Amino acid sequence: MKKVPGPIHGSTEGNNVMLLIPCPHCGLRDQTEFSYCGDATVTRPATPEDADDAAWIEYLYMRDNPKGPHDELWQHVHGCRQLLRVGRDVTNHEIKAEDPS
Amino acid sequence: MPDTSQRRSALAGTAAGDLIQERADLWIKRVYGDVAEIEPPRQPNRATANNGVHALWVAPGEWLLVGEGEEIQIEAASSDLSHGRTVFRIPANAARQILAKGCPLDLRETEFRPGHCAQSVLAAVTILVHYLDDGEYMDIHVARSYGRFIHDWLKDAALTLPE
Repeated sequence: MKKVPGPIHGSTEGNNVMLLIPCPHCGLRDQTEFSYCGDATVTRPATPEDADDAAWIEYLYMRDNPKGPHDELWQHVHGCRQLLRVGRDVTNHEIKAEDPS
Repeated sequence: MPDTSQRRSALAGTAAGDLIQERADLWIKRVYGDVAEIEPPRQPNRATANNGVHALWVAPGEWLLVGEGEEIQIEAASSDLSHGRTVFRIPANAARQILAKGCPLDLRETEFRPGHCAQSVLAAVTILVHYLDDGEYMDIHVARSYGRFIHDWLKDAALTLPE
């Protein structure tokens, strides 16, 4: 019997979702044109020379994993190559707002 | 002026079909910032034509100049891409059907019109589609190193087109 593939990354259960991401320059474009660049709320220590190990660990490795709205950076790598800030609800993939950043 | 006599087609040795033509005689320049000599399109994903020189919007503050024959001199930072790109010219109707097999762009006639251009992805390769003003042809730009692969892909996809 053929093995049924499980849900792929980026999909909600039983309903494979391909995101349409609104690029402020190019309009609504397919997710495959974009590259995910992580949490948009992370900020580098303002004075790197004063930051201790804990601050660097916090900046480099520690990420929240919220259930609900999430601020993300996406780069339109196959399009205008700009970084965008996209608000995405991780539970239902609803995209709320975007700004060029 | 790119040395066209030195240029070797990325498709040398392949049997190019009638439908998908390579445009090997173009000069291509990426310009950064305003070009006084031509009026570049201000709107994203649009192209303008001035005396045979097409200006294509590719990113905020960046345009691609594409032309045949004598290259124009401009007063702006630019890089010559003439040898770095392979450009295919396909009749627009065929291009629409071929690209529909592997490119996520909305190329319906009501959305993608003559004088529009768009960058997207085809078979994991970045492409630029330029719908020429005459409405008859689309030009597809790819990096030269992917030229043969994309040519094979396009030819393969064109096999199932209705006559």
